[in-house]
Amino acid sequence: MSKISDILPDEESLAKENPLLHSISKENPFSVPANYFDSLPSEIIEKCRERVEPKTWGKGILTNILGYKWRLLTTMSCVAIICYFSMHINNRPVSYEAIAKNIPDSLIVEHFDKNIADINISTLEDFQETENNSTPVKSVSDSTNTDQDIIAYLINHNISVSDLENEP
Amino acid sequence: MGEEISDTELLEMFRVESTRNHAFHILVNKYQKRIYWQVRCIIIDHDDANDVVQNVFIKVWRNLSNFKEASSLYTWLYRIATNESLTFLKQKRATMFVPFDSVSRSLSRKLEDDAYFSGDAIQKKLQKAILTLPDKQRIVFNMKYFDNIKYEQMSEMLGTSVGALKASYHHAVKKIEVFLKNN
Repeated sequence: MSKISDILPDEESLAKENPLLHSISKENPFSVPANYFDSLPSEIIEKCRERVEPKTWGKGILTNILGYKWRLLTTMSCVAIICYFSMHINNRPVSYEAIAKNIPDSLIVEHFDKNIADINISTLEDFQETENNSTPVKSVSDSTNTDQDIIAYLINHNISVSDLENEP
Repeated sequence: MGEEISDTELLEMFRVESTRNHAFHILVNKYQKRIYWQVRCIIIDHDDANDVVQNVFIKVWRNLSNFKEASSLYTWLYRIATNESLTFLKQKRATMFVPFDSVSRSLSRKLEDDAYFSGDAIQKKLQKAILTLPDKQRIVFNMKYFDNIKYEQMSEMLGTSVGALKASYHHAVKKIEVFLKNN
C-alpha cells in the first residue's frame, strides 16, 4: 500500500500547480530595530543572571508555605483544630463541686459571717440532712469498723461506758 | 569569533564552571539570529518575539548542562524555540479568551501596522495568508518555503514523521493559493 506522502506531488510540480505563490519573493520581509542583534546577547545574559540567582533557604521555605497547596492545607488544619477544641470545651459538664473545691474555707466562713441575716437557716438544715443521708454514718456494729472508729463515735455522741453496760 | 568554535567545543566549555559564561555568550552570538527569525515568523510582532527569544535562551542556560547530544545543538535550540512560541500563542489565546481565528486576525492587524515589516504588498498578503493556517502547519510552511529545510531535518526538529510533514506542507500551499486568489 502506498503512503500518502508518495501520492503527494513533489515540490517542482507543486510550484507549477501554484504559480501565484511561487512568484512571490522568498526574501525575509521582516526587519528589526537598528543594532538590535548587537545588544541582544548582553540583555539575555543579564536576564539569565537575574533569574538564576540562588534562592535563600528562608525564601524557599516561605515560598512553599505561601504556595497554594500549603496555604489550603494550613487553613484546613487550623479550622480542624479550632473545631475540635471548641466542641471539647462546650461539651464539658459544669461541676459545682469542682468550683467549690477552689474556694478556700476561710472565704466561705467569711461569707456566712457577713450575710448571716440573709441566709435561710432551714435551707442549710435541709442541705445538711441531705448530706447526712447521702453519706450514712457508719454503724457501730459494722464489723469493718476499727477500735479507733468506735472510740471516736462514742466520744462524739457523748456515750459513756456505763451507758453501754446498761444496754440490754 | 563565535562562528569559529564548534558546538562540541562550546558544550565542553559550558560544562566547566570557569568558562561557562564565556561559552554561553558565544552560543547566544552564534544562534541568536536564526532563533529570532524563527520565532518572529511565528509570533509576527517584534516586541513579543524579543520576549520569547529571551525566554528561550534563559531555558537554554538552565538546561544546557543536561543536554545529552542525542541531536545537534541547533535542532535542540530550534525545538525549544518552537515550543516557546507555541506556548506564547496558547497563553495569548487563553488570556484573551478568544478562538484561534481571532488571534490570527489580531496578528494580521499587527502586521498591517508593523513598523518593522519591510516587505512589499504581495509579501504582506502572503504573510496574512500564512496566518490563516493552524500553528503547526504554519511552522512547517515557513521552514520549507522560506528556509528550505529538508523534510528529514524537519522531522527531527518537530518530532513529526516525514509523510505527515509533506502532507502538512501540501495542504498549506493549497490553502495559501486559494487565499491569494480570493483576496
